[in-house]
Amino acid sequence: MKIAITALACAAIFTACTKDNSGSGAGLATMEMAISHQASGKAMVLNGDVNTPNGEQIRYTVFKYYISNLTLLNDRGEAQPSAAAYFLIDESDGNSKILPFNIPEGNYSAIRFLLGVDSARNVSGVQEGALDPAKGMFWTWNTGYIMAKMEGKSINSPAPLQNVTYHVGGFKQSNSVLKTITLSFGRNVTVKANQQLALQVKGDADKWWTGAHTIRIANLPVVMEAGADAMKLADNYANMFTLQAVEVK
Amino acid sequence: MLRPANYIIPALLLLLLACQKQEVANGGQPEPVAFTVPAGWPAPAYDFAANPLTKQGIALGRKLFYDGLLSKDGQFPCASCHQQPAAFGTFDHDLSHGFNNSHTLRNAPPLQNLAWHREFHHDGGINHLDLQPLAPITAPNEMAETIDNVLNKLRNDPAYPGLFKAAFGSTDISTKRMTQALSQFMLTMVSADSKYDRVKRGAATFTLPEQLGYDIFQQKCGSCHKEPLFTDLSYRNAGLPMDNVLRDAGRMRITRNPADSLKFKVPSLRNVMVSRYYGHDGRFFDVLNVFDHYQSGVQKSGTLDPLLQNGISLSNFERGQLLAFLLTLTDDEFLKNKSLAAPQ
Repeated sequence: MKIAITALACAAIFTACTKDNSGSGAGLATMEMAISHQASGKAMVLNGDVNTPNGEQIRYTVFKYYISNLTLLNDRGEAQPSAAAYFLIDESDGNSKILPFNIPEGNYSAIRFLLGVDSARNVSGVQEGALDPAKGMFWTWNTGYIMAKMEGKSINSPAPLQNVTYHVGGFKQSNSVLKTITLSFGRNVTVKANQQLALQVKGDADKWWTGAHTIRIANLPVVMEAGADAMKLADNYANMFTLQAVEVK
Repeated sequence: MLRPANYIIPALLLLLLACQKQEVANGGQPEPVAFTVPAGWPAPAYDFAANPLTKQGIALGRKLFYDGLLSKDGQFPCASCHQQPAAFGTFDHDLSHGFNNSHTLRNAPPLQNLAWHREFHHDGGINHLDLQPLAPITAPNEMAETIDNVLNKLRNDPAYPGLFKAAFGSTDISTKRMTQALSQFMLTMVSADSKYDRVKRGAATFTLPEQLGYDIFQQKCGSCHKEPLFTDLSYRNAGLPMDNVLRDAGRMRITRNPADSLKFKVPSLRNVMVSRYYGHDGRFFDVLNVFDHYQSGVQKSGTLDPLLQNGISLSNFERGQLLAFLLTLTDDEFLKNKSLAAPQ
């Protein structure tokens, strides 16, 4: 009893201090985007052996990337106010793959987001939360976020310790790897106040290796700076997402 | 049995306190410190509104700057390479020493007048002063730490949580707070009280050799080492041949643009006579070596600065006058300012 009441009081404190950003009179709904990663046609398992679509062996150890500037498009294709939130998606952290935020009630036709961290946040000093440089997704010697990180081991890698290391970044116009992703619902979806729009999105690691460029571990085991190779990887992985289900609860 | 109300009322009170704490309960509010722009200087580049200087923030940054705790083995505080008597460069060294008997790639640049810089490092790779400390902290050949380790050491230290509270209102210790405190201290490293500055203010006069040297400086050096910062903050290839071991392409490492090959940020000449060695890798022991370089050592290449196509001719007579002028850029007030020294 004691504990329960104390917990309740604590919860009250947090709730009381959290600012309600909904502001406007429009009814507030919620959205949840759940991402699941795949490799080789199955659910991704870190430290498990799979093959890339090009037939090279790989054991993924790290699979992380930033998503930001999430916004919904309404039934006329217009962008709705987006959440000023930055998400670091990490295959090794189940919670990180569920992206929650508040949306106004309305009719929606698509979701749009940036794969990466917008350039503004790359040029305004030390950030906090998911963007804290301590998260290890940041280049300290050549300022900028690592937008996406894939690491693993492969018998096909000529790099030391058979490493595969892709740290993909670059936010300036000449070397930008920032990709805007739009996933259409294929229909208009009405979300009323207090309802939840639930999206299930698949992120397919296989797409990193094929598409606009064929990436072979034997030729390119390491990318750790902005530039042409990073841009190739980004051209490919921009296609890794597919929308699997849209549901209003 | 206690009734729920017995808990809820104190809890509600606690709630009110918790929400108001930052505004009200902080008897020890951080005390604002004004940043003075010397007369005739341009507006600073640093956004002070995003990180207002306070007495407590500066004091915290000063302690951090001199604390070996920020390095892996405790031996390498910021101040190990950035020493006040050398205008916060490394005294009498070409390259600096880092963790485990390693050497740095480049000569530690003096730290002064940082509020006017938009980019940092000899190659300009860092685009904000607050981000700068993260590079040496995490470099394996410098302080060799991780950001998380440093933050945890600070959190477990008996003194730091209280100092963060005094500076920022709560005991939370984060990357942002740590680096903003360091910035606050480093922003106070302003050198603007050399004899040159006093002459400009009308409070002193140059001797004849100093005046002649100033004339030569303006004619032959001042377009890159632009007053009052004595750098135009640009990146230029000054004709130093690439060292075969260091293989340092300078600005091109950052931009990947071949047009930036061998370009380095123009260093300030303030306090130049106390901050040897010179050149991005400290290859010049003495200012006289630098004169020799400009006279006859400039190596031609596609990216050589247009102003240096024919080197810079300097007669022995001119060198003497120029030295006399460069000595007027030594700012003893800055070099001996106790508030910039290690805290007692």
